[in-house]
Amino acid sequence: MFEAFECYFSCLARSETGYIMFGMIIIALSLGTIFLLTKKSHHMFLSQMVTAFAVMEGFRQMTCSMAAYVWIYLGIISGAMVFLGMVNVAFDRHIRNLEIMDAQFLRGLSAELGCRIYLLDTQKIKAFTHKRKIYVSVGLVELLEPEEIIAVAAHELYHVKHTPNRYMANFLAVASLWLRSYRDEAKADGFAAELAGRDNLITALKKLKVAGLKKREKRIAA
Amino acid sequence: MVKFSRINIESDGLEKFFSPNEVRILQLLWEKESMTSSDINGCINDLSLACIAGTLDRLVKSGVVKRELLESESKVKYIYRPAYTKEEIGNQISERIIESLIDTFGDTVTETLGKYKKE
Repeated sequence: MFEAFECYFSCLARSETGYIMFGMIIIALSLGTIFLLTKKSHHMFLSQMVTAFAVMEGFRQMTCSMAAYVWIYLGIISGAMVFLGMVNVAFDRHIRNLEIMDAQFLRGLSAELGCRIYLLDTQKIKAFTHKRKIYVSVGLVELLEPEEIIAVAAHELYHVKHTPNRYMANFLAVASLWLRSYRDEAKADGFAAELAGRDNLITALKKLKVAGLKKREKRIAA
Repeated sequence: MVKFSRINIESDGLEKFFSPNEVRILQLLWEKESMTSSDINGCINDLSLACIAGTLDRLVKSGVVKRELLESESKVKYIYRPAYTKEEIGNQISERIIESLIDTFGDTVTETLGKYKKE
C-alpha cells in the first residue's frame, strides 16, 4: 500500500500539471465553503465542476497504481462528510438557541399538512426545513397573510418530503459527480402553488424578496 | 447591556454607545413606549424591514429592549417596549464606566469626579 502511495506522489511531483490540480482542489473547497455560507446552489455546482475536472486531471496524470488514487479520493470524500457533519451539529445548536416556540395558531396548519411547524423566536424573516420539521420565524408570520404562510409552509413541506436522508444528500453532494441543483426549488414552488394557490405563493415570494424572483414568478405562472 | 468594546467616545450623542440604527429605534420606542415592527418600519422609511428586524433582534439580545409575543387565531406578532428609560440607561452606563475607571486608576477618579458634583 505504501509503495502505491509513494508511486502516486512521485507521479504527481513529476507531473507538469500537478500544481494546477492542487489549485483546482483549493478552488473547489473555497466554492464549497461559499456555498455553505450563502446556500446558493450555483456555488455548489461550480465546486462540483471544478472537483470533477481535478478528478479527471488526476486520472489523466496517473501512470502507476490506481489504488492510491482511489484511496485518496475516498479519504477526501469521507473528510468532507465529517466536515459537513460538523456543520450540521453547529446548525442544530444554532436552531436550539433560537428558542423554538410551539405556537397555537400553527397547530392547525401542522395537522393539515401532516408536518410539525415550529416558530422561531426572531424578528428576522426566515423559513426553512431541518430534520423533517418546518421552521418559520415570527418576522415572516408578521409579514405574510395567513394564506401566504400556507404557501410558504407548503413549499417547505415539499423539501421535507423530497429531500433524501441528510447524510445521503451530503454524500452525493461531496462525491461531486452529482451535478444537480442542491435543492429543487422549482418543484417545491409547483407543489406549493397547487396546494395554496399560485397568487398566494407569488405575493408571498414578492414580499419575501426571494432571490431570482422574476424567474420563479414566470415558472409558477406557466 | 451596552458592550464596552462598542463604546466609541468620538461619536455623537447616544451613538457613542449604540449603532446609529439602534439609536433611531430606541428613540422611537422611548417616544411611543410600545410598537410593532411594522410601526417602526412605518416611521423609519429609509431602512429595509430586514435591517430593522436584525437591529431589533440585537437590541432584545442585549437586553435594552423587551418584546412580548401576541398570539391571535391566525397571526402572531411582537410588541416591543424599551426595557429601561433613557435616564436608567444613562445611570447604568455611567456606573459601569466609573467602576472600570476606579478599578484602573483608584482614588484619582473619585477626586476628579468630585469636581463635577453639583453645588
